[in-house]
Amino acid sequence: MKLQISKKEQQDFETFYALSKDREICFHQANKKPIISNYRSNDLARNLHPGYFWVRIKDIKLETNDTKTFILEADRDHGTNRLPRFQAGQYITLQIPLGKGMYIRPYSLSSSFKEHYQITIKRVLHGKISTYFWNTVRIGDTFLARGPYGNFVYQPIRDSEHIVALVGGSGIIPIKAIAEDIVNNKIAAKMTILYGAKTKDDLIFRTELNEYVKTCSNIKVVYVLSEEKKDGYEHGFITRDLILKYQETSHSYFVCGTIPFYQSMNKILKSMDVPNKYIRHDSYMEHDIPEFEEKFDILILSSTGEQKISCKGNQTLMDAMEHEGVIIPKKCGVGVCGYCRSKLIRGEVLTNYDYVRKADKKHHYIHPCSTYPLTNLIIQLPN
Amino acid sequence: MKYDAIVIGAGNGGLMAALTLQKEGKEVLILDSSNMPGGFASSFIRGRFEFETSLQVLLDYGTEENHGPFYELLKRAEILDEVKLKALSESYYVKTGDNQEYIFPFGQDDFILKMEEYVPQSKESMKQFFELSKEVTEGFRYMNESKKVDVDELKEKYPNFMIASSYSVKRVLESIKMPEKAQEILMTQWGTFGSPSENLSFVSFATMIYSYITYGGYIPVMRSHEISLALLEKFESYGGSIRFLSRVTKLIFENDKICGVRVNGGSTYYADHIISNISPSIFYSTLLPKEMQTDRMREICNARTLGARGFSIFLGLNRSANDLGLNHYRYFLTNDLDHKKAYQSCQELYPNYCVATVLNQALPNCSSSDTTILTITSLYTSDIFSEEATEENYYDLKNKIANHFIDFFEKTTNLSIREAIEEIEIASPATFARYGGHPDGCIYGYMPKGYDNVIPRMMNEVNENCLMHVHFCGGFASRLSGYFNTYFSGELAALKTLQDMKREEGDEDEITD
Repeated sequence: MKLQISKKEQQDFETFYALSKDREICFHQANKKPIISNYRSNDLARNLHPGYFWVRIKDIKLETNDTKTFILEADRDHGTNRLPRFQAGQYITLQIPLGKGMYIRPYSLSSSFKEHYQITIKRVLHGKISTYFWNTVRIGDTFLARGPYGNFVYQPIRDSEHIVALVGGSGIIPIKAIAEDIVNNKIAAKMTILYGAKTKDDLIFRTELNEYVKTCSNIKVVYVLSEEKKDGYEHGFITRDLILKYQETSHSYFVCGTIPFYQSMNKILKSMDVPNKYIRHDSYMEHDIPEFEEKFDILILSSTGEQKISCKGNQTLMDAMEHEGVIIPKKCGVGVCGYCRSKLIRGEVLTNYDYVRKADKKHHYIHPCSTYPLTNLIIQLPN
Repeated sequence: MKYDAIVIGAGNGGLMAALTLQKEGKEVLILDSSNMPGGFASSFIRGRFEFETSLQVLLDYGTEENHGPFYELLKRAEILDEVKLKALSESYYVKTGDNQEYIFPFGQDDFILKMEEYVPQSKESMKQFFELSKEVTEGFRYMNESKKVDVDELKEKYPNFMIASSYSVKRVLESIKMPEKAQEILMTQWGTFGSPSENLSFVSFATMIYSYITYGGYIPVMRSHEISLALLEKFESYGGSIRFLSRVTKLIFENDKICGVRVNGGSTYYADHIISNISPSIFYSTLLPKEMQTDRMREICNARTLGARGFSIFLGLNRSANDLGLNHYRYFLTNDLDHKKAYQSCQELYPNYCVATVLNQALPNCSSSDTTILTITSLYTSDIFSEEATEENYYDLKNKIANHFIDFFEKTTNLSIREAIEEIEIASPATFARYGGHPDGCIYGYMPKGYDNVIPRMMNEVNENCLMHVHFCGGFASRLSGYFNTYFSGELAALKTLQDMKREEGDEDEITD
C-alpha cells in the first residue's frame, strides 16, 4: 500500500521535515522565565510527608502511675516551623541517641491532629527507652522525628461505620485519637470501645473518654478490669461473650494492645467468623521470639563502610544494630512496613516472610527489624 | 573515589543505563532517594496482598520463536532467564456506560475478524492499519537502531513510516477510511498515552497496537519489582554500586564542567558523566546552580506541557475474580465511545474513564485463594487535582475520587465489588509526586503532541543537549513513557555517555600523540 495524506505526495514528506522545524519554532517562542521548580502536588506531598522534622517537648503530663503523655511542638530552632498533618491512628518515629546506641522508636499519636502532637508512653519494666523517657526526658528536649506513618486508620470505603475497638492497656493510645476525630465529626462513624486494663487506675485517658461519651452519642466505652471489681465496670477479660453483649450490628473491629492481647483477640474474632476485611490492627510483631541465646557475628556493609557487631539468637538484627549505634532506616520496627529492607549476603536467618515482597524473598532481602540470626551473617544495609 | 558515571534515580531508565555502562567496564554509582530500586516499577504489601505499583502490561516481548525488541533487551541485559513472565490470554476488554461491550483477542487476523463483527465494513481499513503499523514499527526500529538517522534511506526503505509519523493518529486513520466506530474502539486505549488521537503521533499508537496484538502482552510473575531487582542484581554482579535513601540535591562543577553530585546528608560523589532518570524540568530547576540555567534550557522546558497525572486505586478483594464476575484482565471503561469526551472528562475532578486490571486473570496465584487484586487507574490531563487538593481536604478528597471510580467501575461493568474490599490504597498525583518526584505527579512525561511527539523528540535530541556529559532517560526523555520505552531510553542514554567517553579518550590520545 502507499499512504498518502496530503493532496500532493511530496507534501507528506515535507511534513516530516517540518516536524523538527515546528519544534524549534515552539521552543523559540517559549518564555525564557526561570524553569518552575515547585509544583503544587509536589509541595502538597512534601508538606504531608516532609520525611523528617524536629520536635521539642513542650509539656509532660502524668496519665497513670506508669504512663506519661509528652506534648510535642515544632522545633523552630532546628528549622521545623510546623508539624505535618496526620490521620488519627498513625504514628511518628523519634530518634533517640542513648549511650553509644542510636534508637528509632515508633510512637502512636494519642490525639487527633492539632498544632501540637501528643505521644503517650508507658514505662515498661527493663524497657531502656521507656525508662529513659520516664526518668530523663525534660521539657525543652528536642528529637529528630519522622512520619507520620501507618495504616491503622479509619477508611470509610472499606470499614463499617460501626467500629468496635478491642483495646488492651496502652493499645488505647491510637484508638483515643480515632475517638477524638469521631467526636469532632472528622470521622463519620460510631465506635464502641471495649477497653481492658488491670485496675481502674491503670486506665489511660479515662477522663477524656468519659468526656467523649458525655458529649458524643457516637462513642461508647466499656471498661473491663481484670484485677479489680467495681460497679459500672466489667470484670475479667475481653471475651467473645462480652463482645457480643455490646456490639449491635456488623462491625469493623479495630484491635490494639500487647502481643498476647492480639493473639487472644484474633482467636476470638476467628471463632466469630469475622472476615479479614473487618479486622484492622495496628502493626505488631506477629511471630514468637526464638529462644536461642547463642551469639553470632554480624558483618554490616553500608555506605559508611563495614562494621562488625554481635547479635544473639533471640535478638532482632535491628535491635543489635541499634545498640551499636548503627543507623539504619526504620519505621514500624515489627517487620510490616519494609522500610529497613536489607540484603542478606551470607548466612541463615529466622524471619517472618509474610510482609516481604515475593521478588525480595527470591533475591534474599530481609526486614532486619523482625529477623533473627541462625548463623554468622553478612548483611548489606540500604543506606 | 571517583566513578566513571553517576546515575540519578533507579527507575527503569536509570537501572538499564547503569547496567549498560557497568557491563562495558565503567564504574557506575546509582543514587536513589527511596529505599528500593525501580521507581514506579515496584510493588507494595497491604495485609495479605502484594500490589503491582504501575505495570499493566509488558509489550514487545513475544516468544523465543517470535520475539520483539523487549525480549532482545532483556537478553542484552542478561536477565532473560531471571525474570518469569506470563502471557495474557486476551488483549483487552472495552465496556461503555451505554452498555456496549468489545472483547479483543491477540493475533492480527483474529483481531481484524472481531472488529469486523463489531463494525461491519471495517475489515479493509483494519488490514491496512496493520500493514501500515508493521511498516511503521519496522521504520521506527530502524530509526532506533541507527546511530545517525539517514532520512533519505528512511524515505527509500520505509516511505509509509515517514509519512505516517508526520501525522496524528486521527489523520492517518481517517486517510485509510477506517469507520469512525472502529477508530473510537481502538482509541479507547488513549489512556495508555494520555493524549487524544488528534494530538498523538501515529507512530506511538501504531507501534503499541502492532506490538501488543502481534507479540501479545506479558506480566512478570512477581510484579515489576522482579524486573527491577533482576536489573539491580545484574548491575551489582558486574561490580556496580547503589546508594538508597540518597536524594541528589546539587550538581557540582569544576571549571564549568560537571564533576559530581551532593546528596541529602551532605555526602559528595564524583563522576564526570551523569545520567538523569529525573525530568529535565526538575533537573535544571533544582539541581543546577541558578546562574547556570540557560535560555535554551528554559525554552526546552517551558515550551512543553506536562503529560497525564496518575490516579490509582489498589483494591484487595476478599472474593475470587470469577466469583465477582471479573472475567477479564484489562478493562477499558468509558462513558461512551467518544474518546475525546473521555479525555476532556479527565480534565475534571471526576473523570468518566478508567483502565482497570484484574491481576489474578493473568496470575491466578498472585493472591491467596478466593481473593482478587483489582487496580483501577485513571488520569488527569489538567492541573485540576493540584488546584483542588489542600492539606486540609487531601484524605477526604482522595476518598471521594476513589468512591467515584468504584461507582463508575460498578456501574459500567454491572458488577459489585464494593462489599468485597478488604484492602484499599489510593495513589493521587501527590502520591506519585512523592514517590516518583516528577512534576505534579505526572506519570507519562511531557505531553506527546505535534512537535513534542516521539519522532521530533528523537530527531532533535542532539540539539537539545544543554549540558555537557548529561543525558536523560525515563518517561521525560525522547522515547516517551511506558515500560519498554523507559528501559530502552536508559540503554540509549548509556550509549550516548559511552560515546562521550570515547570521544574524550580519543581527544586525550591526540594530545599525547
